[in-house]
Amino acid sequence: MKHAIKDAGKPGDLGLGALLRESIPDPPLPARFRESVWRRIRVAEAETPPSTAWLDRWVERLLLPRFAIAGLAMLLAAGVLAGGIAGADDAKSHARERYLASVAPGALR
Amino acid sequence: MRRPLLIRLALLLAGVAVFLIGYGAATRWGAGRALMAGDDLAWLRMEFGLGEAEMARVRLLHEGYLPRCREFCARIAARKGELRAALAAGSESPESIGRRLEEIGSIRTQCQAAMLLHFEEVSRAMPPEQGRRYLDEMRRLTLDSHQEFERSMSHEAPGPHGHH
Repeated sequence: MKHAIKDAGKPGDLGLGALLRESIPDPPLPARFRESVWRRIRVAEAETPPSTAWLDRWVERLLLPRFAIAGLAMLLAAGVLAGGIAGADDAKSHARERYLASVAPGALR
Repeated sequence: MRRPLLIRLALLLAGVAVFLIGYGAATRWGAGRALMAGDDLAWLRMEFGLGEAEMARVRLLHEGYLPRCREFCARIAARKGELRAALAAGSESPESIGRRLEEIGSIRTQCQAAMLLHFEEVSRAMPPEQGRRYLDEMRRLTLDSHQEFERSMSHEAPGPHGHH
């Protein structure tokens, strides 16, 4: 029997395959089965909040190598820009303190 | 359900890390540049955009002013040392301590006058608009030098005319 089932896919055993398929009982589907499946799909889709849906789409897109590299490059550029501005402010602040210390000693300030 | 959340978290962390790396590197670069400048007058160049000729004039004035400034500082430090010693010994009368304080105040006033004069000279060495801005800033710093101290004292005390 085991060999018969194993060989059922072979061209010579088409009759046996059909016989086997017929022997498997086909359970009756519940009433309005197809309709209830589609209803469940619609309910599941409606329950997905739109906010996470667009986020999911973005995450999927960002996972593509070219988008991931572009995103990281943009963040690196933003970091460099913000750091450059902050660094320039710091540098100016240090330079100001240095000048004031040289012309107006702490005793007077 | 958990996997997409982890992916989002990993993406977020990677983004934050990359941003911070860029930020840190740029800040360090800026600070390093400021240290490399190593010049007391670097602020004038940065803030007022002075050219080489203006910087040379300002530098000359600055170098001429520094010995006077140091002399005032030394005199103030010496008088303050004497006052501290007198207060520690407790041997002087309140009138004598008052005279010492007046003397220190007088040197400070002379020093502030010299500073204001120097700031005016420097402002004249700059383009008119920048000179005005510089002078406003330096006058404010010189005249408001004790403002914080006086303000804190006036909060603690009932007021200048609050004595009975």
